[in-house]
Amino acid sequence: MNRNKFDENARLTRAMTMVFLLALGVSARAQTQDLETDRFSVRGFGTLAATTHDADGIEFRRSIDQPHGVRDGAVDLAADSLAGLQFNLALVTHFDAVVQGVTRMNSDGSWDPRITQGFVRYSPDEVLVFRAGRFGYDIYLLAESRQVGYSYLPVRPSLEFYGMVTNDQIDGADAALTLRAGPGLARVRVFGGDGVSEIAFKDGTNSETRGRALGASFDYLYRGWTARVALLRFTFDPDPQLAPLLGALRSTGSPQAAAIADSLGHEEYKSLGIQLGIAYEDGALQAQLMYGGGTANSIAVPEFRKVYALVGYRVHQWTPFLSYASSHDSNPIRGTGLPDIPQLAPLEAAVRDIQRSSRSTQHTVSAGVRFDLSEHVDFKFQVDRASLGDTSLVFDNRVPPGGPASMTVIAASIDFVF
Amino acid sequence: MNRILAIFFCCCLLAHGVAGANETASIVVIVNPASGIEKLSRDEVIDIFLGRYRKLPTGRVAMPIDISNPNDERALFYKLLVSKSPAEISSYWARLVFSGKTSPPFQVPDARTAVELVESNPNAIAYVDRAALTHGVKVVLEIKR
Repeated sequence: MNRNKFDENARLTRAMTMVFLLALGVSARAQTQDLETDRFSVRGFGTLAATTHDADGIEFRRSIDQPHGVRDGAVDLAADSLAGLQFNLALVTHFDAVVQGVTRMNSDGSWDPRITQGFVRYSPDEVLVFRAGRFGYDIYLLAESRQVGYSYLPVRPSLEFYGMVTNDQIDGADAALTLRAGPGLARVRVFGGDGVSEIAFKDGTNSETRGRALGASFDYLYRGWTARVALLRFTFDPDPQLAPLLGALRSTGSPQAAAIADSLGHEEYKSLGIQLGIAYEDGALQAQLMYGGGTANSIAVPEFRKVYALVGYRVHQWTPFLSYASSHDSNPIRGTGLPDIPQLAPLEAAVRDIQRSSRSTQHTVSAGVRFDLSEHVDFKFQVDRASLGDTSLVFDNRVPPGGPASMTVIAASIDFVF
Repeated sequence: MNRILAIFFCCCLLAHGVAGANETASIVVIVNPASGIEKLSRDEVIDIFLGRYRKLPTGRVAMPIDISNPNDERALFYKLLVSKSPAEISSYWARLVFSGKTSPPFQVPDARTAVELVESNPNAIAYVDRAALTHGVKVVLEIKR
């Protein structure tokens, strides 16, 4: 562990300890002030986690927006740690407002807090709900945020299923309608708005792409069962810095290189995703099974198939769990077809790098346990065995990089809410 | 994939068997006599208290009331209703509250306060031990095992 890393971990530990102590204090006060503070409430959450792994030359990341990950053999407190505060305010009748800020490792390496939710909600009867502002959309089966570790079983959401998703909040509006349908409840939600997708690269750079999201989800809830079908269309503009590359590819006169340039040079990149999910939660058992698939109109945007399964069973305060997650890139990496000569090699490398920056072929088997210390605090321990293929979820610092690798990740965390 | 599906559904069936474990305690769900509600099903009560659907059969919006002391009625109510521990209920609400989707039930410190609120509010719905009943409330469901 180098000195900077040590300092970062020390600062993080101090900050998280203060948030944790604040949480305990606010929680104790909240017990006696519920009736008085109902119109305005302050809530918070956080995770303090220690993570390590054993794969030489690999940096483990929680998601592709993290600018640096956990090095092999090091114990890292940054990758899985975060904290958030949320303010709820009841406005006039049927209107309320929510503002949520989260501090975690950003794509630029800072821990500056960011507004993750900030919206006004209108619901005349709890059947129909409108929101406008910044909010999460239905990418997670049981919640709209992956940041609240206390709300789920594993230390972190599945890398394979969610690690590529960095635009899980949008600035826009949504409407949800819930109705009784047969023995259960049917809920339809439509949403639209702008969202920012962030990616951090191995060379220390990062990108922010603003795009437009439009989607709908249909849920059916019956007793312990929740089933979902969700569709999401995401469109965004290509990076203008690609223009010289596209020009160079077209100037070669190669039809294959020109086709690559056409694919990269769309006026607008379009991605369409579908998610199918089913969850069962009754008594001591929790289980989830999800499938996700995506297609795109450009080789710069990933096309994928993902599967996630989780089963947990509570025994007193202990909930051991097992999970399996797999992500597979549907489209092969396309080359330019240009002659293998030094003058053209940079073009070939650039085209391959663009495609590789969003690959996620890997799978992970995880086992862990959650121990509920109280109604507001839990402790988790988790071991992941990941098989890495062609993936950008991790940073590959091997020389030369590439090739399959296996990695055992061990993490322990404390989550709290107040 | 087929193997994963098979394991998933076997676990769900197993859970149903385990969830039927013996318990002799009971708790009653109460509303205001002027609410116009004669009875509620177990599923309707689950939907109201878990924030899934709070529109009552009369068309009004229910105002569920939780008793904040986790060692008494609250723990028993959720154990009987959905076989969940207080920590699991707290975890469940963490998902919804930090998604900004809905609000948890209104918190009161004890059963007596819950009964008083139900007596004075036609939209209120609460749960108490049968011993805490008064003439000013109506029982719409008894949950027992």
